[in-house]
Amino acid sequence: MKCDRCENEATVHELRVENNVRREKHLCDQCARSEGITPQAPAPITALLSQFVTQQSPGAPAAGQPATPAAKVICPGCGTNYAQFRQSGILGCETCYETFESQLTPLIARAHEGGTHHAGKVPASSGLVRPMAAIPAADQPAKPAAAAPAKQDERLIADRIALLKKKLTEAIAAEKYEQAAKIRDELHQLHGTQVPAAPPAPAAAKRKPKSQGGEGTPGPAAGGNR
Amino acid sequence: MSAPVPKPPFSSAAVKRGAEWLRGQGADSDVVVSSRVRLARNITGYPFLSRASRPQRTEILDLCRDRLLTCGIAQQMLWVDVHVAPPLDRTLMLERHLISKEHAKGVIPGGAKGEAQPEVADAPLTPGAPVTNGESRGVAVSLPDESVSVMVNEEDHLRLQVLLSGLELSAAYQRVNQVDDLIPGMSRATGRSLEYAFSPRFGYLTCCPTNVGTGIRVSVMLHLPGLKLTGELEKVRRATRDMNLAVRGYYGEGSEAAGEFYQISNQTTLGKSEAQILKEFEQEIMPQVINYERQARRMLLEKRRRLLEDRVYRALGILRHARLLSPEEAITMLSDVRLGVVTGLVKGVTEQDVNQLILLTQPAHLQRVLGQEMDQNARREARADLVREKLAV
Repeated sequence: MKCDRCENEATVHELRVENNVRREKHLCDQCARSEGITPQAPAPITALLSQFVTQQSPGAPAAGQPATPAAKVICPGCGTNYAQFRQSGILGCETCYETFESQLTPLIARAHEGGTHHAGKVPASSGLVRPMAAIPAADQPAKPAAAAPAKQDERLIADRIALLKKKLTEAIAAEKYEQAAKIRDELHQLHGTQVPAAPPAPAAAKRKPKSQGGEGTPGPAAGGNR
Repeated sequence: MSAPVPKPPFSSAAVKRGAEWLRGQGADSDVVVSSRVRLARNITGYPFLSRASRPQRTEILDLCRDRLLTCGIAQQMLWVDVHVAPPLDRTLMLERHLISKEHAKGVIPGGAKGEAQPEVADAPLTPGAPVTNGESRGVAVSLPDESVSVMVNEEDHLRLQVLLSGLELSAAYQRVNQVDDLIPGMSRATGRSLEYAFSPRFGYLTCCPTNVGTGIRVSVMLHLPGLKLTGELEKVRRATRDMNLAVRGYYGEGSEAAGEFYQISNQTTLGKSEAQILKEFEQEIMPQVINYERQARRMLLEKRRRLLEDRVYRALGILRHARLLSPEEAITMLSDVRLGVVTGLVKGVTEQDVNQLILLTQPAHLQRVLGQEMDQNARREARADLVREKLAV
């Protein structure tokens, strides 16, 4: 694509939507600079993270709100408090993930392209089966799936569906249709696996992700999803 | 001046032979030097290393050592207690990509650097503090190919990695996945059981939440001299960053690129399966970068041949005649010669020769190959001699 202002190749693309009017700009590096648009080099992930922790932290004096008690929570597993985590960006023990779950959720989503729930391998000892087992994955050696409680399995699939629905909405909003199609296909497959999984499972478990897809509010919805 | 080196974990023959990842083979080896997949794991029931006391660190090390040496990862396993290994051996393992810089140095994860160590025996160690007094840590390595290495007590209790030559991410994942399945279990020697810290929601739990979930880091070491010469490299850097990938230097995090070697790796570890992450990397991202580099090389050959030839032969001339070589100059010149080899300008030298020289000219390797400790000046002489000998016409 050519630059809007000269013959060079456009490397900076800006999309603005103001009052429902969409404006696109395609500029080369030089013209972008002369217009005052400087493509920012993304900050390293750790810097981003600590910055984000500080911003998101409930303890930070945000918009006239007093510090919430969440900042004073201490992990029963290791004695780490949230302020310590905020400072170092690292956790003290496995229990920290439960202790600081609500504070961690938005932070983790941001560090992992919106990912809030594990979608990968499950250790044999956990008694769970691979939530992705239904999806044909190339190069994935078949793993001996332990006979796991169907309920757990169902919950993992439900979590995955909720996540995918959210991603689908985001992809459509960003006009990434190719990506959206992929997500849709995966959703279809997951729906296929979900139906016969556990006949006695309460209907609520299945309805949960549906209602969430409608809300489209990433923050609290993800928290209420467990 | 030459002090004998105390019982080396790697014989000088093994050092010369080099590891699997240096073969200069495997898919797309003209651009991809090596592929690495690593998994981060912690053991349930112990605090992460940011909060572990000295006795706990030792207990973790003992438990892991026993499991790693008895669970059948490879026919032969080498174990090195990194905290008591001589500095030269630690550097040697770092140069061979068997341990990280942090592991060689020994740093408690997190916090500001350089805080004082607490003297209380079972107090948690200060995050970020250098492990000056031999905090227990180790590494297990599969022999003879060194393709599997498992670091114990790095940032997480366990860091499993498989390193292969060329673009072989699927094979590397399959192998590391197998190792991952073998490690948990009962340790007879310690009477304890090793199971991973895992939650259904967050997956494998890691010290830093940026690794949580699959705990997987997929990375490839690329040689991109064509893109550098044509000035296109910055675009690749920008594009890969937009895709949430990290671009790093020759020795990973925090290191500078040396001789146009770059590492690209994933950052997202949660919300995608291992298969998805691998597929995106191996089938979507890598082919593009590889083609881009090949195009740049073709362009140089066709349109700027004189420039390319000058660069390559100049480098070859320096390496064949220099009497003193610094490590920086060696890797820069070897990188240019490698470009000559893969574009067919240089005959009689293989990719493997160059890969091997890049390793052998590094400080610790040089000293081990020659069997003596040397100061910087002596190393510059020895480096030039070694390179001249290997590249002699």
